[in-house]
Amino acid sequence: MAQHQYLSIRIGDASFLLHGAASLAIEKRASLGPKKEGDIAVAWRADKGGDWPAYALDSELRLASNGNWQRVVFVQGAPRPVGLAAEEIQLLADEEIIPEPFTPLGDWIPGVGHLISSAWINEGEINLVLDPAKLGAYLQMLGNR
Amino acid sequence: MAKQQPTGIPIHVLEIPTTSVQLLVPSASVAEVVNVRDFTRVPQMPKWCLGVIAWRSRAVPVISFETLLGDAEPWIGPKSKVLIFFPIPGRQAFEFFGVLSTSEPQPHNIAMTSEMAAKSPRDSQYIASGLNIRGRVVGIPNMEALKQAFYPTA
Repeated sequence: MAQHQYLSIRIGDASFLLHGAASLAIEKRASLGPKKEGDIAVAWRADKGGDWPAYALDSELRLASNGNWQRVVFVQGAPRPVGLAAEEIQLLADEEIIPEPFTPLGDWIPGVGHLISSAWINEGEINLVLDPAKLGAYLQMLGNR
Repeated sequence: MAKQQPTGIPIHVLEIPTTSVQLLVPSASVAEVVNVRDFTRVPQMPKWCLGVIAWRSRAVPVISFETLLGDAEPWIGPKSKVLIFFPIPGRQAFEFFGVLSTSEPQPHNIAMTSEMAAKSPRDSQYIASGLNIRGRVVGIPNMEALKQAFYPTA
């Protein structure tokens, strides 16, 4: 994937960018294992090293019980990859995206930090960029609760 | 009684109108005054942050001083402005921030005198002190306290 290729991830009424290189896999809902009874993961990707959990968040990036998610992008987590469920995930292949660093104001997510680390302004429109390492750590933390 | 003589050189300041308190800041701390435009929400942002706006290829968070002081959210009208502040000393060079004002800030050129000292117009950690400007008491923002609120774990 080219250096500046990004994924556009739509969750509710919010959209975020994620660097394409951070994506380990993108799966359709139909190709994933279903939610397990009593688990907060909304789906699972089968893997011989252990299933990868996927979590649904709302537009505030807080855990959502379900939703209209259609696809999942998996990012690196520890000890295994973790997935973010979204209504739509698109590869912005033709865009020249060069985000500028950005620090959100206010409290960090304890043990994780801010999930947004930069932003790309395109014709006056603000696109917030997810930090892949912190996203992975956050999803992992949600799963460990 | 002899009139108090000004001390020091005159400084350029901006008086920022908000619905809670008039603020006074050095003009040099403000990079630009812009019209209010659509705010983009940032996930899990504090209530006093109205969102971010695009400014010179950057996303700049804009705060409501009213909400920071615990007052009601301000009404944003056609005269409202956003003052883009340079980063607080000690922070990253890209960390500009905006403050919402109810109208265009008023420039003043003042020479400080001891009789201008006034009680803070609000009992808040975010107001360092008060200053009497031509019969009006304005608040001087406490930048250290703002820095702690903006970047609490730094």
